[in-house]
Amino acid sequence: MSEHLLDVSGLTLDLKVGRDYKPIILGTSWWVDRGEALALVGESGSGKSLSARSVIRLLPPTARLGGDVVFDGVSMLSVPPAQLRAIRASRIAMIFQDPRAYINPIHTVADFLCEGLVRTRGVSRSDARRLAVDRLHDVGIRDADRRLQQLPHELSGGLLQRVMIAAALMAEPTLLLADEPTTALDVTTQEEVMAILDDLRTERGLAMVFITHDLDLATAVCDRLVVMQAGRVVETLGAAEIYTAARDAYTRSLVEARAGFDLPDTNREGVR
Amino acid sequence: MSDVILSAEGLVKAFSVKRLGAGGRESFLAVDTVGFTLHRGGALAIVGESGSGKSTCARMIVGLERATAGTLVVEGRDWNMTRRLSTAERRRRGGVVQMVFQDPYQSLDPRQRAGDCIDEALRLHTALSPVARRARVAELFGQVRLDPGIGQAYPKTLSGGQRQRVAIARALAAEPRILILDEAVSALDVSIQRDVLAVLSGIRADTGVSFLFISHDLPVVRSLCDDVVVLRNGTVVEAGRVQAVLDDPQNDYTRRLIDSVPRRGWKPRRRAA
Amino acid sequence: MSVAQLAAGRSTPSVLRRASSVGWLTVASTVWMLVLVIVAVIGPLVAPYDPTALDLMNVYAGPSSAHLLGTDETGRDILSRLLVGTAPTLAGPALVVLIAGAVGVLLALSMAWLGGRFDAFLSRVLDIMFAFPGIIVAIVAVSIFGAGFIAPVIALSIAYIPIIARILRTSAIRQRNLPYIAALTVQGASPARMWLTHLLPNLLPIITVQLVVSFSYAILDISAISYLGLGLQPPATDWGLMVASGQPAVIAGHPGQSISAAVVIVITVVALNLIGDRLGEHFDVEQR
Repeated sequence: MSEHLLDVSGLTLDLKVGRDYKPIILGTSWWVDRGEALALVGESGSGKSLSARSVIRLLPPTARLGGDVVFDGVSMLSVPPAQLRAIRASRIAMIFQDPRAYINPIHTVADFLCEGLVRTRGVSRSDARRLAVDRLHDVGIRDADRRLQQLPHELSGGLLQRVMIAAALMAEPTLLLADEPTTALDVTTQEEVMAILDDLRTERGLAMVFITHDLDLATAVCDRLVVMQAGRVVETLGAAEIYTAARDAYTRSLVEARAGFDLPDTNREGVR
Repeated sequence: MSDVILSAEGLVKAFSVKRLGAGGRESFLAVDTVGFTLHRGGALAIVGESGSGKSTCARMIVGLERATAGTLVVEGRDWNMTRRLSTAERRRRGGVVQMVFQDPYQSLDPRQRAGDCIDEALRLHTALSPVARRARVAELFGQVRLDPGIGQAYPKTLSGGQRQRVAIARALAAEPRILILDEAVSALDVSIQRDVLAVLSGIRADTGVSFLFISHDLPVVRSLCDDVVVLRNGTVVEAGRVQAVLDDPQNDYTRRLIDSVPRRGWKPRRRAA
Repeated sequence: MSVAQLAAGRSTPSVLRRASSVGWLTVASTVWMLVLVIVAVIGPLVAPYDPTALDLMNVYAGPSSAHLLGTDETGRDILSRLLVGTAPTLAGPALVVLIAGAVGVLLALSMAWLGGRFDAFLSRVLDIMFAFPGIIVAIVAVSIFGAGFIAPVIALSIAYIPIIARILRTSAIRQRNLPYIAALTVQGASPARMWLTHLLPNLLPIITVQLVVSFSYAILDISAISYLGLGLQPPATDWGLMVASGQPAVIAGHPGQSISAAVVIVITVVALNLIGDRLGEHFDVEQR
């Protein structure tokens, strides 16, 4: 009955460590509306990344999930495998911190971008390729034709992450799960990638779950923030309220952790 | 006695790399004529993005990397950077300059207890008796605000922040005049980062050690350092007092670097490449 | 917890509980190897018969209470021959592993340590050595130096060096490039200290696994050489030789000797591989 695009309620996750199960997520609830950007913010061990993975059940086979995750009326925890694959292929896309680990190193960028469409949607190779060029343009890659023939190792980290975003957009998903997509990048590249992501998302009305440890970055690109600590949600609040209305002590400590050495606002208008 | 404790001039590091596309090898300059000066008791930041050559500079100073050219003067003595160092020379220099590395998960020997790790450094750099060394280990743990009980622990049972403090204590065991921190807080969570930075500030105030702080993180640089050198593609694009450079950058790249740091009221923008 | 549970918990000896967590196959394999080592030492003392004593009245006897595994074509007790043959069967491969292991570790560490041209040159040399199968090298060595115990051992040692060195080199390079070694370098630690108190202990797990598995292959190879008649010469005996000398009897319908010797070889090789696998798993978990 939920009107949210994605509704996570009472989510629990236990992972097998050695012979025992270790609780990782301890009953968290949060939701994302259509076209909305939600940030899951937390430090290492908070369970933010695994929360996003739980949505599409991208977990080790021994993982135990509880609670419920409803995406557009479909319960993701009980959906049959075929339908789960279909949702992963066309409705929910995910990008990762380390794109190199998720891209086949011996396939060209063209193969990587087109494979899904050609295989699961029956789109012809040439149509898929045309679409790939468009998407690469969207993520600010101008010499798309040349890039399509390159192999992953020939691209820099920033370029590769943009290719990942292009790939995520190929199937016109409604929800994007972005797991620390800029953490491994330089700050200037991070800004570029985040700006691209921001533009594309707004243009398409794409909803996003943005996983990050960077509170300032989350505030800049998201509508709402869910602050997580050690497998629990400690606070949920609007991006505008984070610096002023955070009630939870942990949230405030995160805000203050970096506040002590703020940079001045340099003359941003002067830079074009 | 001069106020300058370390000065580097004309540092060059060339790597031989495979030529892209065509065969053969070509020379690539990771560091191209870089110079900087560290003042006694001061804190100098070398900032830049990946590939800027900032870490290579640090590694050349401690002898982990042989410089292609350049002069380095430390405490008035000329330190040859282009030849291979003998163990004795490494140890002598190690008593003056120490280094803390980025990854706390890999900078301690996994099979060595934290206390033994520091004890080993003490044996290398002091003539203390075993009893005196034990006392000194406890003292060093105190200096990095760690419980001395951690001395019995193996690295795998310690958190990232604890490990990094052990690594700092190990570096301090040699009683260096200069501590090089190579992205030493970058891998840590912000709350832990803040604690480790506080430990570092305390150490600088207590011991008068000088910091050479290699980092990409401008806010952290601002909180800890006095002077800054901005590197890009192996060359210095701007240098000066931290406050001056960060508040009023003269170079376009420096300005861009500052502007891309997320902060309150910040929005990412696309820029002409 | 109920009283019954408590009682149950207490009644399980901790050795057994530990064993079940290690895995029964591994425990059985380890016990088998321990028994073999003991037999290798005291085999001649516990053998029920003189392994060379002929008993022509009693050839090809089936298993009985007098001869647990029966007798061979000259009436010699098969069990006694197996027991006495254990030491020579294990000694050769053990020597191979010791020699190849020592040289292999030294090579791997120096290659990782010095890198550059030294490493590149030795890598090529090892690649070339790698191309010759151990058993062929051993056969050539025997044809030059004559059959016996020493020639195959030396030949196999040389053949095993590249296998051990190449695998360990990769691990050694990874270990050598970790920042803790850089930290020791900056401390001014001597290379000897870095090797002996840091690199080697950290490589010990993978060295152990490598040597255990190599030991099993060496047993196979040395047994094969003995089987071909190029190793130990009669009247001395080892398991490979027993498989061979029992062979004519197989056709005559008395496979006892060949089978019992072959079975102990197979069990030993499998046991060593199981131990090696389990050790590898254990160290892998420990590393995390």
